[in-house]
Amino acid sequence: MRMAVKTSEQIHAIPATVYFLALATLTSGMLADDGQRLYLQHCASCHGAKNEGVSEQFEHPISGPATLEELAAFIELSMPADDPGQIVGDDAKQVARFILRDFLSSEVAPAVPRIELVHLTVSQHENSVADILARFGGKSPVNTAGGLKGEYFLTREFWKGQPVVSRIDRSVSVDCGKASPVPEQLDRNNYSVVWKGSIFAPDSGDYVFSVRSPNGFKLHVNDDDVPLIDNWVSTPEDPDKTATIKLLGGRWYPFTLAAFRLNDPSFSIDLSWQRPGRMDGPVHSSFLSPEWSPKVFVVSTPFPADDSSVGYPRGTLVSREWDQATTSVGIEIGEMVVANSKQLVGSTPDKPDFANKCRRFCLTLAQAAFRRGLLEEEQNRYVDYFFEGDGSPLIALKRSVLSVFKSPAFLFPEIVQPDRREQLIANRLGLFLCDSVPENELAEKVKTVLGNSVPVDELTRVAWGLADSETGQAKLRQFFRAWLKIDDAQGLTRDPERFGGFDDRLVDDLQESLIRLVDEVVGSETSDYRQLFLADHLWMSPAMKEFYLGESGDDSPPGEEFAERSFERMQPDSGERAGLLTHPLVLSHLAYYRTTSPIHRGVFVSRGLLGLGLKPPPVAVEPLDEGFDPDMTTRQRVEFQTRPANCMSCHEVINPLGFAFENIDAVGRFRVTDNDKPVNASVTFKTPSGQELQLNGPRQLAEYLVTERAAHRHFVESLFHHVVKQPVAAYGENRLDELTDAFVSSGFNIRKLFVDIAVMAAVFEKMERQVVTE
Amino acid sequence: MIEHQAGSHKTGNVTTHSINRREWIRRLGIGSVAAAIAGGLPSLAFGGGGTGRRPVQRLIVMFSPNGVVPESFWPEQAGDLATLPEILQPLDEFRSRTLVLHGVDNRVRGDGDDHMRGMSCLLTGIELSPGNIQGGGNTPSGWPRGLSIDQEIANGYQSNAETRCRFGSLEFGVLVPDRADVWTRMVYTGANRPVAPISDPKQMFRKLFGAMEDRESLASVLDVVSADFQAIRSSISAEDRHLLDDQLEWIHQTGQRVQVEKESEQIVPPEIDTGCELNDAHMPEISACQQDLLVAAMRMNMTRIATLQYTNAVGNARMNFLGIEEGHHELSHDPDEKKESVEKLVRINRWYCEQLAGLARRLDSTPEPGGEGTMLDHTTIIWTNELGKGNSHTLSNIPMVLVGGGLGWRQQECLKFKHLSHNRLWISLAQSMGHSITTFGNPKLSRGGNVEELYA
Repeated sequence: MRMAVKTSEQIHAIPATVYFLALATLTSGMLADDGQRLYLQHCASCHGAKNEGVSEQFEHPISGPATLEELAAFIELSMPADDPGQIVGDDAKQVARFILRDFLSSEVAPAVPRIELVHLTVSQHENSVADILARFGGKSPVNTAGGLKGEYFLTREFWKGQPVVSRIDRSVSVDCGKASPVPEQLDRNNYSVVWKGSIFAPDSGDYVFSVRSPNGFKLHVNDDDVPLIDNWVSTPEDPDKTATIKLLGGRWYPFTLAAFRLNDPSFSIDLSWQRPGRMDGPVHSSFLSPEWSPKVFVVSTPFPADDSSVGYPRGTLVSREWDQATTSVGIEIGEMVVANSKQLVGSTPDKPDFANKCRRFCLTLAQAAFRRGLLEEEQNRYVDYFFEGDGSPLIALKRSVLSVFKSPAFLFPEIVQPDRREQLIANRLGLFLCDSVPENELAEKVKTVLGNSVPVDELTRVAWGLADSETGQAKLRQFFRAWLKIDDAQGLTRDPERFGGFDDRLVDDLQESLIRLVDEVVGSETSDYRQLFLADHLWMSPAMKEFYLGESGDDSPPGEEFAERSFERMQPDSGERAGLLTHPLVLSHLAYYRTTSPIHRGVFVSRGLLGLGLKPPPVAVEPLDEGFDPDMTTRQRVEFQTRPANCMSCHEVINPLGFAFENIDAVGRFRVTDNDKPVNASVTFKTPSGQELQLNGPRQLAEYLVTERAAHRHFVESLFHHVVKQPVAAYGENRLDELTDAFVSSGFNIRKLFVDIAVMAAVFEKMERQVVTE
Repeated sequence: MIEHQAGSHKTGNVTTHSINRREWIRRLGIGSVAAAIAGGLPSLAFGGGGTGRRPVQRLIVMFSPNGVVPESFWPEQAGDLATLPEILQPLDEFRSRTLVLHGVDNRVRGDGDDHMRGMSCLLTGIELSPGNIQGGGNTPSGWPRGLSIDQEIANGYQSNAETRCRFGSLEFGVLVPDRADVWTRMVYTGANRPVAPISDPKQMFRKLFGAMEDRESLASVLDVVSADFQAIRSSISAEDRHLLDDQLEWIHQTGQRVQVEKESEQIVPPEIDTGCELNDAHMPEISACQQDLLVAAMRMNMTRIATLQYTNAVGNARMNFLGIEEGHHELSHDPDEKKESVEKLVRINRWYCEQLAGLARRLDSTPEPGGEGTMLDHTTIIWTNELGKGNSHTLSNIPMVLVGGGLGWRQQECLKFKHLSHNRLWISLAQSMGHSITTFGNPKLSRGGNVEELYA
């Protein structure tokens, strides 16, 4: 059925079929015939007597899924396409029944949504490995942001003495020339500086570090032994050095940058980084901490992308590449363990207890990886078997480690559930809220909580702890980054003649600006989802002010305060802005090289925000460009191209949602004319519940969207998919509505929704599905 | 160490010019008898190909530090190597395949002190860049401005299907300190690009044979994991089983692949105990272990170019196993008059020569795979040093002792040159190994190019 269908209500089709079949058996004959008669009379001329389609009318078969009510309503409102309104009321229902029974019956009973067996997603795999191995490293200190510890030494050999100055430096950007950095204390010709502490990676991906200095320096990131950049022998003729390292988001990494001057002509050093998807820029002090943190084991094996065929990434594909990747990871970890066996195992090969200690290490590792205690046969299989005989304990260690990380228990988290319910709940909370294994004590916390008589409320408090942790925040941030394509700067090139100044630097600022808006809303106390659309302010850098407001920029050179101070919270365009809905980055993604794309914008709202299901166009259509008719505005052109009836079945929904944005051009600027004609952003839109609305411009669209139930439901469902990676209907027919109701009554609190989803799914027991919940 | 040479640059120029047959035969490195036969063959293109394959040629550069004791090292006269000076006596059994070159100077000047230039200009033949490393005298310096001759030849070899190996070159170390500077690094893939030698036999073993180890491990693990998946499969719902079936299928296929690879594997990891302690006292064991690994790697054609670096420039190994308490570098600075020190230095250098002989012996007791004679017939070991003499820091008369065959150079001989720039020696070496260059490193020091007197 090529119409807007609420995909989240698919399961209602089951009761519909059941209802229909029951009805059919009770009242056989007459009703069925009536529906068929009406169909042949009114519908077959376009759809074909057997729903085979008719060329030049409606070429494709009617297809589902659809409920009886939806189909009947659609027929009533929109069919026949050339003269709707002929088949209404009961007639419409009968035709709908006929169509469902004869043409859509195989489609109308989709698979019953259930909790499927899935393996770890890439993010879950990487984070789990890091946290499993972190268990052997002892507790890490709490990191407070604000800069690095800067220690200044009297000689180059800083490892031999004590610093004469020790202070907090907010950044590493020094240019002393010939002078000393600390004149009273250090001789200007002979000293070293060590900046150390930790650096925070907000998101997972590759980070490119750059150090510019004509002096000797060494940079350590996540490895206190092997430097990431070893430039201790200086290369003044080639002072720029870069190196790339993969980091996991939401974590602190040990960091050291040491440099020295020994009779060099001058001293200067500058540190910058390129975060995933972003350009090179200074490292802001909020990402630096003077405290040490332990090394994080970051797997270097690349994984194939997760299967996203259902609309979000899940571990439902077991491909050869994935299997090979899990083997490489196991080997990588095994090698690391052998190389660090002294610290991890607590013994050395020459000692008599070595084999035994290796064995015990493997046992502890397996328990952490399986997220529970081991059954006896598992202990035999994964540990003891490898340690039998006289072979080298190091080889046994490596093999046991490899087997653990290729095991079903590690890769498929729910394949064999732990005996203790509190362990199960803890495991789920860890996976849902932090994409990782739970920390050791979490199961105990849950146990205490479940001893009380009001489990869910108390459990929620435990869950808040996880949600507010740095890895929890990273997981929530990941949702928004994917949804709004914040990291994707590809394809954002614009015609320089029309949009001079829209360059890579500006785009990078737009990325930062959107991140700030999202962080501001999500991180606020109310965490109010509506503010994502109603916020009338924009965070603007000097380059953005110049481009969007025509203000001549103050060219403040990048200094330590660059990232913070130079983004100003402003209210441009006299209150016409509507949060992320009109954010230049979002709307620029939804535009072409020279013109806007109301169709992409309309699809973004209808599919991405309202959750309406839209099939792709029936035939491949190339969009008409400006050359088609120089006198037309973009709106006029799109209206012209989508006017045929079989386009309109979708475009009557898409177009108004897209035209409402016509005031924002292809680079996110506010405009009142398009092609020298006044912009018409006034639209009539029929809501999913059938109400007809007049809207003018994106602000009014935003004000509507925050009241629309379909939008709330879709947001909840999308976040659910991200958090749990299962269909929400598998947790109960009414689950989505319950979660949405709670979301609404909490004041649309995003962080609370994050927690509620995780808690609900964590305590869920499959048997409950038979019973109507709550 | 480096399998691919991306990022390094060549400094050699290939020029074509007509050459006479005798010269061509010399360059192919064929011995004199074979040359007579080859003389009757139809002309072959320069560098091999045609109806005959170019015979295998290998190079090992062995380094020891702090200069030598000249009067105990150099033969008194040029000509036939009838007898060997004290330090070189361990080479007696290989006299017929030894070539001693006296009068080769490291003439690179510029930044850096003698040890620094001695080490980092030794194989590169080019000046050091300005930098911040201050030696005992002269100006501070950075890294050399170009690549080393072993890398130059390795680049050539890797770009040719006939000579390409899994590794372009391998860098072995014995107690090389774990810091990167111009005293510890001898091999460079380009300007500012030092290559760290691997001093840990375990690490080297892993690099060479790791993949095979992994295969063994994987084979034993797959059974365990497969059994577990099978056991769980029956308790999984029917709709979910396909995931486990896929997983079992991949495990099965991996198992088969591993089996096939094992059966067709030509390379058998050697049984070498790599667990030696890495300190001065165990230097002989480390040396033996690294040499075993080096010969094994070459025997399996994993590479044809290698360096074996004993400590570093100014290396101060305490060789207790020789009954010597003082560090090597300290001793090397004692004046000639201090006879006990000279005697100890002679013993130290003689020990190094024993290492050279041991390496030659390993090669000579291994038949040349798929060829004639032994591996030593096809391998040239060049034993060299950063300095001519320790206490004077001279860069003249750099020790150059060649053992082995395959270059077509003179043998059982001592050649005496007058201030021959070592750049020209490297040019000759490259040409003789089939890699045609006419200049290397500093162009001024390359003038004269190939050294005719070297050839048989």
